[in-house]
Order: sequence, then structure tokens, then C-alpha cells
Amino acid sequence: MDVVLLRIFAIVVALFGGAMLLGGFWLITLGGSWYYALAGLAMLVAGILMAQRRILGAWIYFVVFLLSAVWAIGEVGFEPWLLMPRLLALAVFVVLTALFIPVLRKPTSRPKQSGV
Amino acid sequence: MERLSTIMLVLVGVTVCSTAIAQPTETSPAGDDAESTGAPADESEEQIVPTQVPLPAAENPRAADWTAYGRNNAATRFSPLTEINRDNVGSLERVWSYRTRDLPPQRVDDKWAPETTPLKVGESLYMCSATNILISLDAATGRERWRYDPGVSTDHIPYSASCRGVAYHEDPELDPQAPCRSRVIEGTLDARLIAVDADTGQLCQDFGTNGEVNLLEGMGVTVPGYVAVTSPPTIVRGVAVVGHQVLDGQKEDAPSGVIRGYDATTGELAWAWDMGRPDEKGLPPEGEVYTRGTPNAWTTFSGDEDLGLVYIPMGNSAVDYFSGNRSEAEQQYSTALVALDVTTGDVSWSFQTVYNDVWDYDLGSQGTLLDFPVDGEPVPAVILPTKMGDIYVLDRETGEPLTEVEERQVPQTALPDEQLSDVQPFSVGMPSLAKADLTGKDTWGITPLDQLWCRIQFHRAHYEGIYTPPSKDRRWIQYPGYNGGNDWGGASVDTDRNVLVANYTDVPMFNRLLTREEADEQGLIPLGEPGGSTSSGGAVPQEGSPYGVSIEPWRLFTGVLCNDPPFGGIMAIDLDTREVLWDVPLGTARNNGPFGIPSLLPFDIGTPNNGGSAITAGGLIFIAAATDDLIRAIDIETGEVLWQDHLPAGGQATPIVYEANGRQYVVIMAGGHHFMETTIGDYVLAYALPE
Repeated sequence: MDVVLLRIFAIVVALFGGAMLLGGFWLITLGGSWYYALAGLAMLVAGILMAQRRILGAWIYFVVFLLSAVWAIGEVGFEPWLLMPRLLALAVFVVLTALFIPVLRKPTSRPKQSGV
Repeated sequence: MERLSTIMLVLVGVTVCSTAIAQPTETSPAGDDAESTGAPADESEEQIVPTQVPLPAAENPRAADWTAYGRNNAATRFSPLTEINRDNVGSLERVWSYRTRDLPPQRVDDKWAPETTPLKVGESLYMCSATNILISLDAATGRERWRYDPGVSTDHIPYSASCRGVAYHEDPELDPQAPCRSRVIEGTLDARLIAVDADTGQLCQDFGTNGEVNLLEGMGVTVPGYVAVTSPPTIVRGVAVVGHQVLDGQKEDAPSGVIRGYDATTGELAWAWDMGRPDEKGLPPEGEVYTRGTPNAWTTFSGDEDLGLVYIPMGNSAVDYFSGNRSEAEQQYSTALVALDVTTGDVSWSFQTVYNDVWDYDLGSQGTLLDFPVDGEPVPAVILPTKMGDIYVLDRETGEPLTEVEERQVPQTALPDEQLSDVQPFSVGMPSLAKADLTGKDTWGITPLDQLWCRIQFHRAHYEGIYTPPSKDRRWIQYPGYNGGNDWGGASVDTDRNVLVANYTDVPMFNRLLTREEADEQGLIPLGEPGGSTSSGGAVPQEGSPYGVSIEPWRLFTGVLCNDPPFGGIMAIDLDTREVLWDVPLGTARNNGPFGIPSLLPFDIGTPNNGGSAITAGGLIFIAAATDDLIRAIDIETGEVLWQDHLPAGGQATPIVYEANGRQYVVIMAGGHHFMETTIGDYVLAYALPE
């Protein structure tokens, strides 16, 4: 069950990142900020890795969040209403990612069929 | 003739007043305190009253009263009452409520916005409902004294069913026992001027035809919903000055924006100011009509009894977003403040705040009259906030700016058939209500994804700061938007502290001109032609010009706005130093959220707002206006909210403050507003301290 939830979460992160990557790429072509494409790409990778139950995905996501926080504060300072769109949803993902770490760490239940 | 004699009497009165040779005459019941000397009300008896000549109630209300839309014809919205003050306002409670019983039938519930501010004279309140039912209440109890329903059909609702207020008038020449010696006058959505007796609510038989004047006379072809009065007349020297709104954006051949003065006693047309026929003052001759398509004035005017001037914030031409085919007169007076001589209807002066207005920056704010300090000397001035956020201070005798106004280069249009000005005026000598130009960083959302979508839109749109010209190839961002800045709520001035208070909205628009083919494809048909309607939101045809126009607030399908908060605020400005005392967001997020779901968040996000404030000598600003349905009392010195109450519907109206039976009341209409997307209601609510 935990694994199913993890996979759903990881897919959401990956889709969210993918959408940010696509929109962010468009934004770059319009002369706008590079942040969204870069963060989106990293989230896409993080989501795919987590879906594969690789803990590296969680670490990548934590780094994405940290760098996003630095970027957001640099862009708008400490204004709560302005930090909200930039960080609130990402912070929810941070909490969920942290909650899924035990699932990511748990030895895989799948019997190792190869290498017998 | 009666009108002439009234004017003569007033002229004599003014002369006597100015030479201070006061004859003891009968004192008007509503004009006897010494407020004009700036004395606090409770000391008025000790003051030397400068003149015994009765001034009209609207010019000089008693301390206990609120006799004109802006409390007085100067529109200060400042009450000298002090019973409710910063120390005790926390215990303010609702003491009565009244319902106008004028609620929208379902068919028009998306067009309801009563916006009503009552008057208080003597023991009574006088007001109108959304569709012009005249109502008088007992000011102390809220009990209905009388009610007169002129029977306005909802077919006549233009953009909104609004009745911002009524005018009160006493004719001292009439016998004290005569009916309608004191009267209440309103303009209606179906373009009538109606006068009723203030004591009985009976039509004034001496006024017009059986108490009514037909405002469509001389207007030519029109259909219901085109010409509507939504603001109270302003009565100066016995002349009721009336403007009207003309439904925006339909076609060039729209009814005229003519401004008219009517004898407040007889209802006779005193003059008409038709900018296309400047030398003619009466009704157009047989077979002609008032010049069509000209700028109208839909908001409330202010007036100076002494100078005999009425200050008219003009709107824009019927076609708002294209100026290439406007006449010279339109180019001169659109979005200008025009001072009309109330005796002759002549233009005394005019001051244009936007040249070639193609942004619908029509002047919605009422001008406020006060003595403005220039080098330490008080100069009679009119202060006018605008939708652009600029606040103009003009000499009210000459129209000359009293603070620096600078013409600056503005972006130029790429449309070959348009003609715009290279420069626009900026009131640089006063603080502005507008924020800095938008950048990509100023986009907003709930998550990075919707913010990103707004950011993409920002970069795709045409935007070069304020006065970015309309474009047809892609959307252009209009910022400030057409809701302001400051709108019909105007500003309030604490004339003791010399502090001006103005609330403002901060929401960009996301517009695009439509080619005629596109407009036709979208089925945009102007009102007055088969299939046309009064729906004027979204997109309008602007027939007679090369373009239609699509007008939207800049927001996503989620309903969340694309610019960052605050979406509205309230600012206090020290008029002595011309500096901002404080500037805070107005309105909490509790009623707003994505997909229209109330977030219930009590945080001050600052919401779009409509409606003005009332200030008291108790150091308080009372204001609702925001979309959170709260009425609040704000400390004028700090901007801090000291008290608030949840209204049963949107408070998109200006509150009033008065005293009845020795008790101070704050009254507001909670009627809601369709465009502000607040709950519609019919409540009149009164607040007072516990007895």
C-alpha cells in the first residue's frame, strides 16, 4: 500500500515538474526567468527516481526545494503573500517526500528474480 | 422667473456673507452650525457664527447630519462627531437593521450593485434602493417613515442596478407649511428626475410634471438601459445638476453625455451643457438632439455655493478604447474635471487628466473641496483622485494645479488609424495611489504552475507600463486597470488634521482590440440594434469605430488574479507635507479563493474594493468596500483596524456617520456588487455604542 501511495506521489511530482519544464521552456523563449525550466527538469527527474523507489530522487527534490527557496527570497524577499505561490506547494511536496523516505529505504519486497 | 429670483436671493446672500454684514434672518434648520470655521461640533455654540444667512443644508450640514452624498457638497465625508472614538470603538454594536425589499429577480441577479449611501437630515434618513424606490427611515430606530416606488422596470438596468444616493433640498422661499418645502430628489435608471416631499414621500406637484422631469427629452433615439442616472444630483444655488451614464462601448452613435441643470423647485431646465453645441443652452431645436456619443458624467459632482461652480468629473466618449474619430470637443473634455457655472451652464474651466483616453480611465471619483495649504496659506482647492492613481490638486476658482503636474512621454500606438498623445500628465507633486510598473516577478498564483502561466501571459502580452496603447494583434496589459486606482468612492478628508484618505484597487486588465470581423464573428451587437443587449462586460462592439474590444481582469480560469497582492489598499496622506502617512492593504482573503471557494483566511491580502470611507473627528475611518464583506473602523493615525463586523452582504457603498437623539450612529448599505462578486443583499445596518 505504502509503495502504491509513493508511486502516485512520485508521479504527481514528475508531472508537476514536467509541466514546469514545458512552461518554463516557453517562458525562456519569451525572454523570461530560467528558474521554472530548471526546477521543473529537476523535479521531473526526482519524481521518476522516486517512482523507481530510488532514494536519490528524494535528495534531488530536497535540493530543488532549497534552491527554490533561495531563488524565491532573492526574487521577492520575505513577503509571505509573494512567497506563497513560489514555495507553498513545493513545501507540501517536501513534507510528503520526507514522509515517504522510510518507504524509499525499505528493502524492496520484490523477489530478485534475476541473478539466480 | 421663480428660478431667477432664487438665484438673485442666493447672490444677495453670498454678497452679505462675504462682506460679513450679517442680517439676523430665519436660520435654516440644517445649516446653523459653525462647522465652516473648522470648530469641533460640541463647541459650536461658543463660536462666533460668521453669518446668519441660511446656507443650503448640503453646503453646511449640522454636526449631527449628513446632508449630501459626500456629507456636504464639498464631499469631505468628514463628520465632526466624537462620541465614537478610538478608545471605545471596540464595543460598537449593530443596533438596528432595515431591508429595502428591493432584491433582483433571477433574470438580473448578475447586474445588482445598489452602492447606496443614505442622507441624514434632522430626524430622518433618506435613501433609494437599487431600482430607485425612495425610502425615509427614522434615523434613530431604522423604522420606515415612508416609501415611494417610482416603478422602474428592471429592463432599464444598464451595467448595474445602482442608486448611489439622493439629494436633499429646502426652498426657503416656499411657505413653511407648503408641501415640498423640503424635498428629496433622485435620478432614476429609466432617466427621470423625481422630487418627493421629505416628510411624506408624496410627489412634489410643483416639480416638473406631477413631480417628475423626463431626462430623455432632447436625447434622440435610445432604448432602455442606454441612459441611466446612478448618482444623486448635486444642488448648488437651487439648481440640481444632473449627469447620467451611457452604456459603455456600444457604438459611436450613442445618446449624448449632456450635463443639465434643473431648477430644484420647479424642475424647469435651467441650462444644458452639450459640448457639441457650446453656444446653445436650452433644449435642442425641433428635429435636433443633444450631440451624440459625447463623454458623460456618471459619478457624483461636488459644488461650491460661494463660487457658484459645480465640479463635474467627466467620463469618456461612448467608444472608450479608440480615439481616432473623436471630435475636438470630445478630445478636450473626455476624462477632464469640468467646472460649470451653475447659473449659466458655461464652462468656467476644465482640467484634463488623460489626453486621448483609450483606457476607460473615466473620472469616477467625486472631487473633494477644501482649503489646501500652499506655502502655509489656505487656497480653495478641489482634490481629485483618479483611476490612474494620480491625485490632482487644483485651484477651484481657476483650475490651475496647486501641486506640480508634469507631462511625460508615454508609449506610442502601432495602429495606423489611431491618434494618441505623445505625452500624458502626471501629478508628481502628490503621492500616487498607483504602484510601480509590473514586471514578470509581480505575477502571482497559488502554485508555481499557475504563477508560471501568468508569467508566460505577461511576457506574451503587450506592456510598456502605464498608458500602454491598445493593441489588436495580442492582449495588452492595462495597469492600473479601469477599476482604479480610486473609483466612485472618492476620497475623504479630515479637515481638522488635514489628512486625506483614499482607498484604491490594484488589478490590471488584460484587453485586446478586436477587428470588426472578429467582433462580428463573436456576435457583438450594440444595444439598440436587434439582438443587442446591455451586457457590457467581457467584449463590446464599439460600432462606428474600426475595433471592438475584449476587456477582462487579468486572471486565470481558477479565478485567481495574475498580479501579486495586495489587490487593494487604503492610504492616508498628510496634506501639509504631501507625504504618505500610511498605506495598508484593505480586505482579508476570507471570501476569496481559487474557483470562487472562500478561503476563510483572515489575513489582510488587500482585495479589490468599491465604495468610499467616512472619517470622524473621533479619529476613525469607517470603510467596508473590500470583497470580504467586513465593515471596519481604522485608526486615522496608524492605519490599524480597531473594530470590524461581518456584513450580511457586500459593503460596496460608502458609510455615513450622524447623531440622532444624542446618540452617534454609523450606517452602511450592504447590498453587494455583481462585478466585485460579493453577496447581493438589501440591508441597511446601523451601529452605535451600547447605551
